[in-house]
Amino acid sequence: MNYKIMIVEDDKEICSLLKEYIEKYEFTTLYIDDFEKVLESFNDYKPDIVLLDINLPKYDGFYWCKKIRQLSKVPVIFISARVSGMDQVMALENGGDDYIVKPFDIDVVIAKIKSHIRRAYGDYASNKHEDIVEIDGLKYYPDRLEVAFNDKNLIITKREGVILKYLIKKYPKVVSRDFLFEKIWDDADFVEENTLSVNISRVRKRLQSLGIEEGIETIRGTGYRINKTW
Amino acid sequence: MKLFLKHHKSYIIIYFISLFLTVLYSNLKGFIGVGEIIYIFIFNTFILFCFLLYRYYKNKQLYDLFTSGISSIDDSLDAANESELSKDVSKLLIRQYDLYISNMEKCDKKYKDHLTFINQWVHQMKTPIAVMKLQLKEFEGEERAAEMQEEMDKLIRGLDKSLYYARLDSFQKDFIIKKVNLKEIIRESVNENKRLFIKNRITPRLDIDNDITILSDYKWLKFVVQQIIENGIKYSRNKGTMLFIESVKDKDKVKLNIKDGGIGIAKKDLRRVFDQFFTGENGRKYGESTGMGLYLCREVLTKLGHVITVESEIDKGTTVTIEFIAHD
Repeated sequence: MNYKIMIVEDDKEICSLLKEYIEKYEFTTLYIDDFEKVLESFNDYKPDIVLLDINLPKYDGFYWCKKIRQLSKVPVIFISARVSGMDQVMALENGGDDYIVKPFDIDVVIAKIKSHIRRAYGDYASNKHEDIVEIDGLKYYPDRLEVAFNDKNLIITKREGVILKYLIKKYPKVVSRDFLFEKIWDDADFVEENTLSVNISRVRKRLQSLGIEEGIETIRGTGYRINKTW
Repeated sequence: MKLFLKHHKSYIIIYFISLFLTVLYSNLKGFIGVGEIIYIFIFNTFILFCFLLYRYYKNKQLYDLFTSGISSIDDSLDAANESELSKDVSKLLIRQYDLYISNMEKCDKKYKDHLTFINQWVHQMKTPIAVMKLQLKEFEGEERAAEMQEEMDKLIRGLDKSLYYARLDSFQKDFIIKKVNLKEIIRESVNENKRLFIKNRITPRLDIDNDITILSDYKWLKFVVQQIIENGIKYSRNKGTMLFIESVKDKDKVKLNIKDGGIGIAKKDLRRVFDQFFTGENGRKYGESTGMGLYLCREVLTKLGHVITVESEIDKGTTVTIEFIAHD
């Protein structure tokens, strides 16, 4: 099922960027132009989830959230630049379900949308089509941590998977060391720089056992890139 | 009393001079004899004495105020009692007080307006940053993007700092003391600076007991810890490779040491690092120093009831210690 998301945010640029990203995950979106008729738009569109800014022209987000609550139990996620505890409390007390502070990480927004959809509609359908990262027959399935190439396949570790995913996604561009390091950073046990090198060489070996020689090339002083030798 | 006599000194002198002249003249002319001179002298001086005494008691309150001085604004309004002099002085003081208050109010309003403006401005700046971040997402992992990301992180940190600074005055309304798990708050602070760690090739090392809890405000304490971590990374660039964060439990106290292997702080600068706008030698060397970070840290920690100290050795590194009361 295609879930509908309504974005109530007065900054046009953020709106269109949010829309662009959210739609990549096969949601339908609508953003509001007329901030006097938020409720009418809500009634017409009947969204499954609402992203709501606090600072809006005319009435603020708290007001609209209260109004929406009188009509519906739809999940409402606040997105605002206000960081104070008071604003967050206000947002949740006025019927909000979650609060994201600007400047936000788009992945967090997507994750929260997905999680609220799961919660509200008890549906894991939005994950039904499995993610596949692919480049000319070399396939990586992030959900299963599985790599496949020419009917051979094998299971790799999470860190190796993360590295492979970004290398494939970014091909033919070079992916910087710092970026990969950031992605394999462990929030509980911080990793040393050396961990990255170790994991890179592990991925190399994995590719080797799938029959790809020299699959990753090192760009000195910058990072790594997939070397398409197959 | 002394002051009263001082104020009336010339008056008394004039009286005696004129009395003396009058008596001398009358005596030379032969109007009066010695007995009358003594009589006149005693009687007239008695009248003067009564007058001065009356005057003194009438203005006693005013003279008391002169000697004790004004210790609070309310004192100046007490001067009024029945004498004309007191009333006039009091009127003058009240007028001055009014002028002063209206000036104060003007300044206060200006300050508050400015604060409101800063707050609004900082919040508004967050939207463009959010837009840039979203647009940059397309290019993540590429070298240029990483550089831009770093500059944007600086912007965000700067904005946060100014927001916290603006909020410092209304601190009383903006904090909640709760039980805080030390390891959790440190881990979160480290993770939020992960890009900074990676960029500068510094590895964080944590050695904190899982079960240490303290009483503090989560948000403010995190802000402080992040400031110190940021400094630690900044001043060990191209030098140290580790940032040690460890806890030491000492009876009912918990010490949190944040230790870097950086350039250290010169002895002459060490005792001034908490001063506002003080940047010192390192600030000049490394740039991008506002002299606000550690000042804010100490202000906030003092309000929260924690103690911060700094030890440092040139070329060896710096250790910042925060002392908490342990909560079991």
